[in-house]
Amino acid sequence: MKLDQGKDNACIVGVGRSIISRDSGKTALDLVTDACTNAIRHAGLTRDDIDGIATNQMSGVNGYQINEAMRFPTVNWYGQMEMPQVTAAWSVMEAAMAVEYGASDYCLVVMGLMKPKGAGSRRDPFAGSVGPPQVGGDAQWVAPYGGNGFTFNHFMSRYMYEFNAPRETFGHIAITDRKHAMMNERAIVRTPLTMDDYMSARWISEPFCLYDCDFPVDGYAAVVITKPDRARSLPNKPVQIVAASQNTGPRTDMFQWDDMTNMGSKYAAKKLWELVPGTTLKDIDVVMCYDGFSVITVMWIEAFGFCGVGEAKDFLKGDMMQLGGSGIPMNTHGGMLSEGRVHGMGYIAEATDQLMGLCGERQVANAKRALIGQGGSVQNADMLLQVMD
Amino acid sequence: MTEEYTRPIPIPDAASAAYWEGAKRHELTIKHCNDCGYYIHYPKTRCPNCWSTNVGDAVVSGRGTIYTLTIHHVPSAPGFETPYPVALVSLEEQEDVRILANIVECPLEDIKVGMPVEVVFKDATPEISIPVFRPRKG
Ligand SMILES: [Zn+2]
Repeated sequence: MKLDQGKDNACIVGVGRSIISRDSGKTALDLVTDACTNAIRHAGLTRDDIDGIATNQMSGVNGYQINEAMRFPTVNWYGQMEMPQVTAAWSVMEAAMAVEYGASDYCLVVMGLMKPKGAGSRRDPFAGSVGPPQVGGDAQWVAPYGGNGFTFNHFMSRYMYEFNAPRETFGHIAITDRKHAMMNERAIVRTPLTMDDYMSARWISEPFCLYDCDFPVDGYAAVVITKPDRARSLPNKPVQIVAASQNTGPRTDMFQWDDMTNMGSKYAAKKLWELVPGTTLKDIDVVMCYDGFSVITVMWIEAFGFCGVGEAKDFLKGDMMQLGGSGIPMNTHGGMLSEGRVHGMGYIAEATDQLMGLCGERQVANAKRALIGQGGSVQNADMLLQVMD
Repeated sequence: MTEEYTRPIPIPDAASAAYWEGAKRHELTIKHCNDCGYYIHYPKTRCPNCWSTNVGDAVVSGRGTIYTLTIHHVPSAPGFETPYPVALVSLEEQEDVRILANIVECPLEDIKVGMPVEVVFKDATPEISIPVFRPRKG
């Protein structure tokens, strides 16, 4: 979407989270309502104000269920994107458009994950089936080979081959995130992680080791979005969504992506920079790069232009993405590799907290602008957030 | 077929029927546009390149190159003993036709991205044979 830089764009005015844990003992809907209640109260709003709900199919709940649990008097707009693999940024962008259009005055956006448990989970998709499973549709090209529908390790394989990139390139992502998670009490893993730990970790699916893969959790986060004039009268510093974009390239099957040395982030970053002419990385104070798998982060870093394509292996050796380092700190909450997989909303919540100045020990001094890249392989989204003047 | 086959078995559909019928004859058969010459995978009966519906089925060489290589240490389907290789193979006829497949007849440590490979077929049932790839000979 084309937005005037900072004039009439929708703002995030409140952030809330549920607990993040490996097994909450709660339902997805109960965790969602925890996050939503916290976000609405943080924004200084009440039940009567909320008239829009956005989530998407990755969250495991839908807007009607959320409304039945929270009883908003009238909901004027629901956003429920059903595309596969879309994370929080898609829903935040949808909500921003709904608010700017006037469909909703105060819109709630919630995303997160209920960790898959038991038979039928990704780890054991055919558990309980009798005899050879019969697979149709796109699975006919994947399941007969014991493939699991996830291609990110294929992207990493090609990237390593083309650029002669060592595994350490990806280890730097896991280590940076962990270092930051140690300053985040919500993070699911906070023990120190060294390059030796990374290099000696067990394989999951080569070239992925354990630390290349995020931690599935039970956890949700929510934000409230409204127009600037309304935002100004609320207690928090409004955080404006200056630009947002969601993109694919010409190929939209993960296994048939044309060039696996990059992802859709290539298209998303190009579009985002076009939306904010004159803005460069020099204007950015903190960055969030999706890390469902470490290779996705490397490709976002290159797509945004922190370094050239194929150059991350050298760029990441330094402290450029670390808190207290010489560049722009990334994933200050620890990302999904260490805070846990809240399906992208963790980055938006953290970026908002940074811009509102709520991050305590890990606060980036005087943070005014945050860049967020989300999603991996074929479908990606990004946004630029800015403290409203 | 030597023993009971327990791995997932594909269900052919209208677009993929020729692929799996070809595999049964041990021929790798890819949809091919008679107008622009584009090979179409996954199979479709309208060419995504030129949108022509003048699309047929072509038996290809079965030769290709390993484009990506992963080695699974956690099984994703029954019938697989870990670790096992899952590769994307780029076909010689057209680089962007990529077939996901296991690599066979090769020790795991010798399988590399960029390696030339050729198709062989694994008979799963009397009706279904699965194309896999092995290092190219000669
Ligand atoms: Zn054609």
